[in-house]
Amino acid sequence: MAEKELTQRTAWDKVLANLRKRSLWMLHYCTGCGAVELPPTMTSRFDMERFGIMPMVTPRQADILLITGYLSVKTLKRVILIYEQMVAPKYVVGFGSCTINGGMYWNSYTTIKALDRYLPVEMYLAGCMPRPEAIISGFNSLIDKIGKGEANSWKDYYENYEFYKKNQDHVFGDIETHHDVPADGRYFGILEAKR
Amino acid sequence: MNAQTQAPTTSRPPAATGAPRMTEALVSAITAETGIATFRTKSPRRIEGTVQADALHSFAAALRSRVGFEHLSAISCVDWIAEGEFELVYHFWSYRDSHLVSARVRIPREPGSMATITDLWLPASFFERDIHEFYGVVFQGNTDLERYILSDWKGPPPMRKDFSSRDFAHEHFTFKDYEPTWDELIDGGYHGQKRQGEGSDE
Amino acid sequence: MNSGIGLIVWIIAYPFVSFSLGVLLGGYGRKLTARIQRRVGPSWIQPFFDVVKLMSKKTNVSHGYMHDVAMMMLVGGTLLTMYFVPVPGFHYFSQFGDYIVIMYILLVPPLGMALGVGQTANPNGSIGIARALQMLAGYEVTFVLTFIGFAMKNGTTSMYELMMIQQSGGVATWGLVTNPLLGVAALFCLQGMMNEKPFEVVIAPHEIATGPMTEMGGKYLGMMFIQHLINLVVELTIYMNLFLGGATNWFEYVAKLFALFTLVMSVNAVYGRFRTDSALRFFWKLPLPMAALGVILIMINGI
Repeated sequence: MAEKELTQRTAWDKVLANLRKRSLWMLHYCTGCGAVELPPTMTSRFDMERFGIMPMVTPRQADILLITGYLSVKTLKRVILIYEQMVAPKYVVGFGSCTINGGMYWNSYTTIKALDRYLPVEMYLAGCMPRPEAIISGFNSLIDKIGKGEANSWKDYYENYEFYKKNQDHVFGDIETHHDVPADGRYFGILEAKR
Repeated sequence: MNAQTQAPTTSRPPAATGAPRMTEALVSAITAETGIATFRTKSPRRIEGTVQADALHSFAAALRSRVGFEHLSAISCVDWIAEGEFELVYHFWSYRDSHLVSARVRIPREPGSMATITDLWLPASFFERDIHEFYGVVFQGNTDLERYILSDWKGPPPMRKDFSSRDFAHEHFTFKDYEPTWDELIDGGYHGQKRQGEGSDE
Repeated sequence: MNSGIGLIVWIIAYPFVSFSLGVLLGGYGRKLTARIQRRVGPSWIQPFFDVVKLMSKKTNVSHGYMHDVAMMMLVGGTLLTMYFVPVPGFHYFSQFGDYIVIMYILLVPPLGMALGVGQTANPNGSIGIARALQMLAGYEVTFVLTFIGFAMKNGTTSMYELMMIQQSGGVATWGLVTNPLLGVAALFCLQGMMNEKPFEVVIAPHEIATGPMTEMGGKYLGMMFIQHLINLVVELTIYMNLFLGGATNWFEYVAKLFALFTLVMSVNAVYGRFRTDSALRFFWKLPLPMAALGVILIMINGI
């Protein structure tokens, strides 16, 4: 699908993507210990702002949703509510081993194991914890992907909503969010394009 | 004696005055005032003892109103699965004497029922709700035993000893498709055991 | 330049010029803050990337009619103010409205913001608006007082004429030199007007989640960013025209703009955030008596 998207891009899209990749605002959802690696990444030592990446405080303003650490079933529900409030295009970045496969909470009865079953994850940063160098390297590859127009995993949430909804329902029972996801998908022009 | 009339929730017990008492003096005071004589000193400033389940309420009321233990510090629970019993431990703290009283109560594991003390200490509701959620103990008379932390929990109470967190996690959640080998180095490995035991890898 | 084709070109081009200046100023401010904090800092035109990114987002959230219209009021009010503030080579509109008119239309953007944020019904936004109005009570009185004193002294309320009077004798006739009390008091107010630290309590990202902007995403936030950048230029220009003698050419104008902004951002970079009550106490204890004293001195000398 990525190749197809790539060939369909107009010149304007390319210019836009190259401007857009210079400004990424992230909302960091600090549930786990991973948040402790972010202050050095943002401040003088590593200075994330030189790539145009800034911390933002509300989901409406953010482009990146950074999940730093484990998600229990209860917090996953909040994360889904936050994710659906974000304005597209939006990128979920799983940060640390916990989001990949449970990490040290491998056997825990309330933490979810693979984040990409509940939300479309654009990129994982492996490590427990990833050092600031790894975070910056990861964000640089995300910037490259956005510049090339390959960072399209957020569309997957609207295209394959049944899959995500089924998994969410499996852990929550019936979850009720504030957004009509299929309607949003039609608004973004994703569902028409598929038909 | 009727505990409810002696220590209503609305009125605080009379403020304790005078010099702090020593541990031995406190033990004898507790024995004399509550009529329960199984208390001993565990360490300086800690007193510990066993109370019968049906006597706990009147004991707590007397302890609060007559000996001056005004503060309910915590309620904790231990699952003694071999003996088929839950042990509830009530911690009371005296501000004047700076002493902690731990009262241990054994209740049968089935049905796991205990009288509430929320009429003495309203904050006890928090601990009772927590224990109800994690051990399944029902506190008779507590009207607020809703789910607290495990809001979408569908399994059995998870802190019981017969609950296997590992099995529950593997039944309930989906892992990524890879077979880790690092855990075999530590404890034989869950996946390794499964493979040997069942002869199939899923 | 203030008639015919030249005027039309100015009217069309000026918003873009102003926006470009705002982008440069905003980028410079962020870079300066970063250098003070010993960081590398973002690109020099980072606000431009931010605006392009925000305007290209697919915005699926609208809280209703007022929410949309408020953004128009926000940008429109700021653009209107911008036209009335004289700059070198373009002072056509300033003959129709003096500073009192500017004072009125300067209130349109905050009003628009209040209406729009009110419709989003976000508590953080409402707190931000309440704080903005409280801060207004802090600096607006003082700023108006400084202007009244200055206008009394020179016998005119037209910003263009005030600017010309100051330019008549070089640095010695600048408002800041002839009326240092008023000039310094207004400098404090400028810091409050621009919502920079220590008077940042309206935005307060760690406290009320950027206040009025909490519920704004995508294009709404893009409009607010554009407004913010133009507002930067407008507010600095107002202070410049009143107390730094305006400017005779664009080179001088830009130089003064950046110099003034350097001062504002340097204070911003090293200060923490005052609480609302602390900020109000500060405004009413130091700049307000200063401005009042300045006005009294002018009245005594003038009579």
